[in-house]
Amino acid sequence: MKLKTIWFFTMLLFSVMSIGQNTIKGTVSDSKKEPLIGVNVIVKGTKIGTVSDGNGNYSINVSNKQSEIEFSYLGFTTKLVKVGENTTINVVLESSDNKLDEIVVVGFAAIKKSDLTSSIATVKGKELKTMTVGNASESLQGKAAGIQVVNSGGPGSVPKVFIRGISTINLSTDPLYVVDGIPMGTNINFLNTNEIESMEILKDASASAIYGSRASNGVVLITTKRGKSGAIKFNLDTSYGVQLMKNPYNMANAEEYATIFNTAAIQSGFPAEFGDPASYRGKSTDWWNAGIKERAAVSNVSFGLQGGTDTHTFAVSLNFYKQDSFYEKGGWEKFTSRISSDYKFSKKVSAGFSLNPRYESWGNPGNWADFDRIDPITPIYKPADQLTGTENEYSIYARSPTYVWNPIAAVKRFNSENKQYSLASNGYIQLSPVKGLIIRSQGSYEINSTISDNFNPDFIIDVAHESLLINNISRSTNLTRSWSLQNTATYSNTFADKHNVSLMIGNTAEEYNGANLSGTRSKLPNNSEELQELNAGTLNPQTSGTSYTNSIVSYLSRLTYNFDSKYYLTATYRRDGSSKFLANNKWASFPSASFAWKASNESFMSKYSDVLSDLKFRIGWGKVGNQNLPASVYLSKLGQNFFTFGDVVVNTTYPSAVPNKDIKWETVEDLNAGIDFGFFQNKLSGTVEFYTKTTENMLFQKSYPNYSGYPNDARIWSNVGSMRAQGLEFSLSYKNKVGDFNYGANLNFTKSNVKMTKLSVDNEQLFGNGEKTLTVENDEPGFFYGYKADGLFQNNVELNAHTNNNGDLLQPYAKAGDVRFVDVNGDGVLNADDRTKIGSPWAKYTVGLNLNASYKNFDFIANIYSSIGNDIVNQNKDELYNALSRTNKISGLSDQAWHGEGTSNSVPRLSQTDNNQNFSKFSSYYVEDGSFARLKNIQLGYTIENKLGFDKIRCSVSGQNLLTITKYSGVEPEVGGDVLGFGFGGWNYPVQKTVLFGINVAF
Amino acid sequence: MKKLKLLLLPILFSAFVGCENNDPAFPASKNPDIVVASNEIYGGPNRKFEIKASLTDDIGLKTIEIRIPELDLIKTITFTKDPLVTEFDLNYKFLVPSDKAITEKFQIELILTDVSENVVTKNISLRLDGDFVAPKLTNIKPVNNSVVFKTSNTKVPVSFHAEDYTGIDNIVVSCPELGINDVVAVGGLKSYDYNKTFSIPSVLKSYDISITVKDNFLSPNQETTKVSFTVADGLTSMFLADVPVGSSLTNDAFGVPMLFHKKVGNVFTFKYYADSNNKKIFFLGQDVSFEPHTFGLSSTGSLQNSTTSNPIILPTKGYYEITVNPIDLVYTVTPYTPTSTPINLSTTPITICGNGIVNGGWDPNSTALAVSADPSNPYRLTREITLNGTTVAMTITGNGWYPFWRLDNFAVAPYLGGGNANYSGVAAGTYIFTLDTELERTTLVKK
Repeated sequence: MKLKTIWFFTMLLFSVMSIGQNTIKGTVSDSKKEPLIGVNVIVKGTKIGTVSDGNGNYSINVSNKQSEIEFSYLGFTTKLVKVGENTTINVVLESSDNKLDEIVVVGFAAIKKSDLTSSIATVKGKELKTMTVGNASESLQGKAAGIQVVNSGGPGSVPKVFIRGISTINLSTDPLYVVDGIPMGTNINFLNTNEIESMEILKDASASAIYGSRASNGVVLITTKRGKSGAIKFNLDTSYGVQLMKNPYNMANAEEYATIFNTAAIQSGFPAEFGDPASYRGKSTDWWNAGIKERAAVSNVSFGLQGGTDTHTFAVSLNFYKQDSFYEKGGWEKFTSRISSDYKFSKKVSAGFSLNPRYESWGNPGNWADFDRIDPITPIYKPADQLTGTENEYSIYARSPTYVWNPIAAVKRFNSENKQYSLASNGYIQLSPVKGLIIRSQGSYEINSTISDNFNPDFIIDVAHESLLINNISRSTNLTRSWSLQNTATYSNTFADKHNVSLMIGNTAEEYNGANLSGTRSKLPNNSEELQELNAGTLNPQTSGTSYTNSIVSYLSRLTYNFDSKYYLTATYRRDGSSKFLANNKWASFPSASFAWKASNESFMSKYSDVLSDLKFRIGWGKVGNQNLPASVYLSKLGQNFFTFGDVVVNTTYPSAVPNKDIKWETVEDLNAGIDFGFFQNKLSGTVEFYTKTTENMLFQKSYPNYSGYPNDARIWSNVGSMRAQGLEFSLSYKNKVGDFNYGANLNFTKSNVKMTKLSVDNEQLFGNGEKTLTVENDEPGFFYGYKADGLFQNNVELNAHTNNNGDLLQPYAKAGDVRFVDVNGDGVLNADDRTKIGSPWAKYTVGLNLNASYKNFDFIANIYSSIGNDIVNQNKDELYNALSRTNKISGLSDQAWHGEGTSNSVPRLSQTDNNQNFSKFSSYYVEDGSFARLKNIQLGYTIENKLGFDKIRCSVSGQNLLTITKYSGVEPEVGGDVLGFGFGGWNYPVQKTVLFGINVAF
Repeated sequence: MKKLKLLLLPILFSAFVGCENNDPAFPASKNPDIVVASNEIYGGPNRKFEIKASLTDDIGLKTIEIRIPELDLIKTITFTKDPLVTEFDLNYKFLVPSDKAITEKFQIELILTDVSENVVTKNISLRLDGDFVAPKLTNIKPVNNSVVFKTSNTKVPVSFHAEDYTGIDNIVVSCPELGINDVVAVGGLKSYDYNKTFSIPSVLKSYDISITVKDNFLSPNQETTKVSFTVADGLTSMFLADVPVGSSLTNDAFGVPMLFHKKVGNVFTFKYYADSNNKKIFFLGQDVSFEPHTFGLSSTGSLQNSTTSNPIILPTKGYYEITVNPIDLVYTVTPYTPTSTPINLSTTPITICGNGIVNGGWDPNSTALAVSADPSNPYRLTREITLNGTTVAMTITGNGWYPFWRLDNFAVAPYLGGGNANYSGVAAGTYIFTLDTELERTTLVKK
């Protein structure tokens, strides 16, 4: 009985235990069916948990069928599954792109996006690589609010990137790029989009202040791809396509050219220049088709592999990008590779390194505009009767009376090449001696060598106008070396379950060295390739060279705190010491603080959680600096010149730069407020932000007053003036899934206003670009400044009415068909005082629209970018419409130009004089609406998975810049420039349409 | 329905009120007034005339419209309303088109509107047969900027010829410093020759004589000119002319005659290039005329100051250093070989930068006005240029502004010096420019 009783109770206990302890097993994988290792698997509401193993398998006990198991993994959406009757639960976790638990790099740390208190935009590498571009910044255009990218088209050119407008007018406006934690300057040509894991753009100062004195233009943090544990995975990504270089203008043929110039001559009182224009019919030289290839290949090949174990991961990528030239010569190609390896020696010690060797070669003729500018009557080659047989191969070309050098000959002579060899290395060691504490040291070294060769052969096309009687050669080398060291210690802990604290302290040191050397010689024995060496030059040997060093040392700290994931505080402090300043101002402090309230995590909001998934209010303040001025502004400099005293010419020196030993940092204070929101499980999410940035102690180069005795060009850098930029940003994303159809859209909108609040003296007028722009207090910097054009005079009545109250003609040389300028100040005289603001180069709004969709194996994306409200100066109007210059004109000009009352109110009469200064006066005649909308990229892809032994094969066809809508009549509406000379369009290299076919294979 | 109409009525009313001009309404007032200076105005083809009138209103003027449709003139002057303008003196000039005949007559219509919208008009007669041409003065002596040699009884002869289309009313010759104020009533003669000699103090000084000639027209036209002369022991400057006596010295833009190079006491030194054998030269005491001082050879071969002198002959082509003493009347002529280095244009191309020149400008790298060397003399850089009739200034330079010669006054162009002097009044046309780098002198003469 006793045994039976014991047996009974034992069985009862087992049965109770078996009821309370159901074991659930399963596998966790991603959407590509790859097992996920280390996934947190927790029974919700308990402390029971485990992690998935190397094959993604897990096993966990649950108390009853009502239990819920939560699967969470970094970078993936957390999933909650009710156990029910299941004993095996296989889970597929969705990638958490743009989701709140996404990890964001913030500078010396990485935190969850939901914990952000600052303004940081993230663009993933896979979004960037949808475009095949030479510079990854180009692909950034339109992807995030607050970032304006102005492309410049040409091979090897660097797009202009503005983060939240401008905060300086005399220094560089480029943001600081930080690649894997190492500051890398302002040009990321060296990166292939396939190398990039993600880009984080630190937009406000509370985010970027941790980069202190170089963060005033914003900071772009780039994280490259690194290895992941698991079997070795290979990836081959190729794209090939053609860029289309269409002639931006339809130029006049020989008959039209003769007609235009005959008309202009006769209307100027001169005899006609050409005989019967019809005699030139069919005798045009088609320069464009003779020298420009309208299609040039562009290709990109990236091969990568990655893999590893729990203790060692590695990644290798090899990338090759090539862009062919539109000319007979030239091109751009670059080879980049990246090798990274990470080791986990123990739970307390880990280390890693990366190597980034690269090679780049470029060199292109730059005279594409001359193919339009040269007249169509001149033949390419001299007629046979003008050849003596003794000319060299560069001298057989014809000379144009337009003074435009024969572009075919110029390309033939072109012999210039730049080659760059670089090696960047980066290593770290990380210790975790106690729980919550991470000590990390990271060092980098980069060496970069550029060699530029140039040879100009001798030639005589016309001895007086187009010749080089003695050939010459030059070579220049530039070697830069830089190193950096960063040490940080971070302690993170959670107290009383709800107080989450993290404190980071650290220091950094960086040094940049450069040395350059160049030499030239002339009169080589001949132009043969074998002799194109400096030593072959026999005349005028000249050398020059210099070197520089600058360095920066910093101390930094960051405190982050949140209470119960509801109230967040982040504070940073950085103190920078720079070699560019003397002792008085060598050191400067850059603090920041930001606060966020995650309202959606409040208990009283839980009843709305079905609708309102996320709601966060943020406010941040910070101070950042700009030290991008020359390294030696606290030094005196001497210039050299020749002066004549009586009959004696004396080689003299004079003070050309005046030192300012009190020069200090230009600082920007930034206040940012934002709201993040998400609805319906974040299907619809977005951000609204407002910011104001105030720049103080702006750096200007000022000249000394004459009475000081210093010559006019003796300048001194001074801290004077201030400006303020304000802006509003809005970003809205939506995504949804209906059956097999996934679709999503992101709309981002940026409005920015900038105003000078103070210049060095009251009512100062700061001119730029040859007095074509003006900067004054209480207005935007660098606005277009000139005369106001009011159409064309149509008849004598209008001419005679354009007088002052005394009958004096305001434009005494004007004739019907000339431009009428407005006497803006009404003083009865048309002079320089009538110049006024005639346009703004700055966009009022920029808008980006990014669409994506997929259906079964098909996927589709489209990116549209628009700049609205900016003006552009179309400088080409002078050459294309003004018959004073002999260059070719646009086709149809005879009809377009004014040739009688009512025939035109926009294109002045043809004339070979410009007494009314239709063209030489800078006026609103040149200013056009520069707004544009551009279909940046459209791509259709088809993916086959797990076929033919490959994990994935994806084919795509895409078109870049296929459609641009604009009223601007010039070459290219994306026009850059310095702040005081921004928005001047002319023969800007156009951003080309590109059609590409791509294949991506993973195995 | 009725209620609806009642509702719509005020809405429509307010809409119309809202569309009215927002300008402040002005009360009814008196008509404005136009008082013209003359009911008849004289003009002429290609000549400006002036409409003069006094405009008034008790509240404020709004616009004045001036209409001569036949001459394409319809001009409206709008007056400011802040503050209101109650009085305005109209002085409006207008150029009569050159294709009109002097026999034509027109009506000028003035339409004046005040802010109360009162309108008045006034017509003025315009005739084109007026005389607006000032009398013409020629052959004026003494020559401007000339030198009168001091004697024990120094005298200055003043003479000129005056002409006018409608007749000369009077002539006034004056020089307050010399006590000269000679008024001649001509009485309407169409031409008049003035010729008088005045005694002046024998002191070394400069004087300005003013000559004014007035014609007979209703609105008299007058011509006033000033001539300066200096009483001196000797000459202050001298010029070398290599053209025959009597040749025009004002047809060139500059450079003819050539300014001296050095002056020590009364001895002037010239450096000169004779571009042919047996070159004939004279020395002048002024730059625009052979009078009053022309130095050449007398019949006995000695130097003399006379416009009847024979030229000095330089026997062979080449460079000469020439000294002249106009007081002692002696001169020397010494050939020399230049020691300066001529510019090698094949390695150092030289171009002309400047104003007033077709294809000019200030780009030193432009090849539009590149010069070439005289095949027989590498020091002489020359090219043909076209002037556009505006003020001429130039720098002759290499690429990147080195070397350079800035054109100074009197056609001097010093190496790495000079001052970009302005030469105004030079007629448009084709000229031959020459820079002699050895002499540092230029010439710009009509082709």
